[in-house]
Amino acid sequence: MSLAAGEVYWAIVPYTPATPFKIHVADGAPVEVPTASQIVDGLRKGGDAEFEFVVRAKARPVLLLSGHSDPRTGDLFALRLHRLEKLSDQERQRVEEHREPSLFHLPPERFPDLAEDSAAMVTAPIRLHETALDTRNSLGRLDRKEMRALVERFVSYWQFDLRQLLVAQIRELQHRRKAR
Amino acid sequence: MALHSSPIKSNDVRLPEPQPGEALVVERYSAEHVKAVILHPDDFAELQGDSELLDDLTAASDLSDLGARAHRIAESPEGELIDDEASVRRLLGL
Repeated sequence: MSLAAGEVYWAIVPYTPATPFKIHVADGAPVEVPTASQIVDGLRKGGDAEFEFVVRAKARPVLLLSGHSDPRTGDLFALRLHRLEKLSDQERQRVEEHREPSLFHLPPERFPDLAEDSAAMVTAPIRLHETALDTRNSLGRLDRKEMRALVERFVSYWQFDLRQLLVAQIRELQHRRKAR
Repeated sequence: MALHSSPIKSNDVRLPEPQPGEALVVERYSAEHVKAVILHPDDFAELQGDSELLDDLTAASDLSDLGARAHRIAESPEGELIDDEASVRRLLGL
């Protein structure tokens, strides 16, 4: 399986669990719990007990933020997409003109198999197992330049402090240029 | 991906000769539409070298065996699954 950053695939994506939590029980309807603290206290009381949670999920197209995947983990990092039809005309135009930093417009011509005009949500990163991805068909792909712009927005939004990394890379670059 | 080159034979095109440090910008219709940029081979070699260097610097680091093992452990259920309603309610104080 060869995956690349910027590609869009269908995937099984759960909604982020939030209150009320639903706990699966073998013979009956799920037990609803209104707060996280009740579950934490209960499970800590029960030693190494675990519950099975009922979490709603959906088949959604996702954009791979990285094509890097280690076969020992099978984990992938992706962004959820937002359909532009859910926005007002004004909002939609704002996204299409790349004036809305949190939504990265996916050019329709590059995503011929994506049924609806969409944007990658910078605010909604998800970790996915590769088995949750339908890899039969890529729905399209951002090019390298677009991916760089998207990653730049992602790093800015989440306020990753890359100073140390940048300084180290600049020094390494200087060193290699001198050695050339 | 580093900047790559696509050779064309000099007999197939007519080009001016750029000086080192000079970029000849070939415009189509106006200065806003640049069709090509012609560089001296030395400048192109430097640009290509920089591109390769940058590409090397952004190479991903591999996951160590320890990291992979820690990931596997974190993702493996390790406790007893409680799924009978009475026990669930008792633990949650419901």
